[in-house]
Amino acid sequence: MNEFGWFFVRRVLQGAVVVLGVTALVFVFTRLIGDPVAIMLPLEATEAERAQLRAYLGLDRSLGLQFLEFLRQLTVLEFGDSFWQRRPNVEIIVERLPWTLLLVGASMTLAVVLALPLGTIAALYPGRLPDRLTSFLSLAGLSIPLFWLGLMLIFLFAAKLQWLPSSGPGGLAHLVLPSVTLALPAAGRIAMLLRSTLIDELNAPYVRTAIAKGLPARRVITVHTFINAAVPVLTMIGWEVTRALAGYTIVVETVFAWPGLGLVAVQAIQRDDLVLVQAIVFVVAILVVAVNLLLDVAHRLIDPRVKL
Amino acid sequence: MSVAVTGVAPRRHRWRWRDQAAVIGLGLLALLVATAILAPELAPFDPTAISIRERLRPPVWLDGGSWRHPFGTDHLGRDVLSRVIFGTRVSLIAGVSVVAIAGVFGTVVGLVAGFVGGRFDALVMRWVEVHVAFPGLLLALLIIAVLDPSLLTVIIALSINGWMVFARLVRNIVLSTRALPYVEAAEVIGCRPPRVIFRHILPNLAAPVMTLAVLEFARVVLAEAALSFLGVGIQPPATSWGLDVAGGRNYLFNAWWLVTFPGLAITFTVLGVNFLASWLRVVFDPHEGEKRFARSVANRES
Repeated sequence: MNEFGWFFVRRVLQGAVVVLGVTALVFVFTRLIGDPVAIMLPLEATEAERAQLRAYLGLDRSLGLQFLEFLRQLTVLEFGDSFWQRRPNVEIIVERLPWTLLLVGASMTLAVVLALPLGTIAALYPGRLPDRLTSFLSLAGLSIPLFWLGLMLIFLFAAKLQWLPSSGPGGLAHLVLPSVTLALPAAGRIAMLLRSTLIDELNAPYVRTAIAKGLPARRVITVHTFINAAVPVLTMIGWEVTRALAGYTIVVETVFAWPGLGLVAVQAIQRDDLVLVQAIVFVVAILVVAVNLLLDVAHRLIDPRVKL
Repeated sequence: MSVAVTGVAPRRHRWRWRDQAAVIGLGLLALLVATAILAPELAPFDPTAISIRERLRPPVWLDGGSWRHPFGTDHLGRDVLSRVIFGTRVSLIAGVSVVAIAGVFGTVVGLVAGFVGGRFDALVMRWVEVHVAFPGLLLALLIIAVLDPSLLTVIIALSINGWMVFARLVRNIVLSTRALPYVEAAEVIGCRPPRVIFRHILPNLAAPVMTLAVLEFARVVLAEAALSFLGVGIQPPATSWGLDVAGGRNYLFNAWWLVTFPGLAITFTVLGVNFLASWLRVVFDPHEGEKRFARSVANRES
């Protein structure tokens, strides 16, 4: 196997360690800190009912055995049944995951499409309007709570102007507000990073050499500096995607009643459906690890100097 | 586009803007702390006092508004201004406690890992990697699902999510400072580990840890608001900005002020903290300062 193959295998193994770690974390939190039976059954449940549920969940066995069983079930993607919806958790996840992926995909595409020109122009003409806009967007993105941004957009575009539907699933029009809510702060952060990376690159000696050599400035910017700026920007985009998957979508989906994994996670928590929450956390962890893996591979392909 | 820094140039507009940002940030934070402490004196009403006859009054500048309720009233007739004022307390308590708990725990773990090294260090850093790779909100939701939602649970969940960044930062600084000649010299002449740690390494940590703490404070304020908004954070009848935004959600179309004012309070709080953090970074990091200076010179020349 060549060097790249080994690199890939190593990253996959590291990813597996992360998933195992998250699984252990989930196990510790749900089994040791709290009592799943006490959470899932109503107060007036009899002792016999409690024992029955305990046996059903396998809680009457030793902790080590429980953890092994937990791992076994996860590796064969057997997530148990949802108490709340009375059907297999896998079914719920398969049904909801595409909605979340659609939302994250649309918003991240929008964020990148906004951020690339904004960040580039901001770097080329510091102090001008695009630069100010980038700074403002990124500062606002850091400071405005997502749920509030979403509600304000609903107020403006659904209540006042009545251009777009306020919430719920549906066609393209329904996708606009939630993805803009997710995209705006991310676009600000990506543009800001692109701006500062590009400024550093434009001041590097190799740019001066290229221009002195007589290359047109446009070519230097598009070919030379962009490739060097690509690595940190890609890392940032990947970071945004994982944050969106494991956090931001929960809030945005709740605001817009978007039927994705995040919304179902919040509803499961409100209904004390721990098994479903566990399954969702596990699936999201795998997604996050997969995104990071893709990112490392892309990173390696762009910059052959990377050793990991 | 070239940067040529020759001689000593006077500090230019970029610097002054940064300093203004720090003043604004500090001002906003001072206002926040004062509001939290003086909440009972400042608030015109009891934040939980229900008055059905006065429900959904608009803010003072709209038709039907009055100075009695400058920010209007909510669907239960509670005074929005008073609720915003009392909401500062929860945000401040959550922010300060989480940063204190996570900061102290993370710093201690990072110090030990960096100083002891070896297997303990490898184990801790692997754990930190796992934890950082799996970002927060979902894990916080899981913890809160197991424990009952309350201010204390929110603090616990956010602390569990927050200590690793401190540990990683401190550990890296310890490793790099330990390689410096003066620390090596101290170890060579026979200083005991506690003296090396407290006397020679710890002072190097103050600036970066403080900057990180300020940034983490902003993160915690936003996270508490988000958790309360989702209904798994602060529970009624307690008051929290996130909770108030959630409560006003159903009235968004006809009473926008219920959602707007608590949201603005969160935004300005976090904005102030971010201003302060970006200023601290420049002040504490000479390299960053040089960069900004070079950039401001470049801007002037172009």
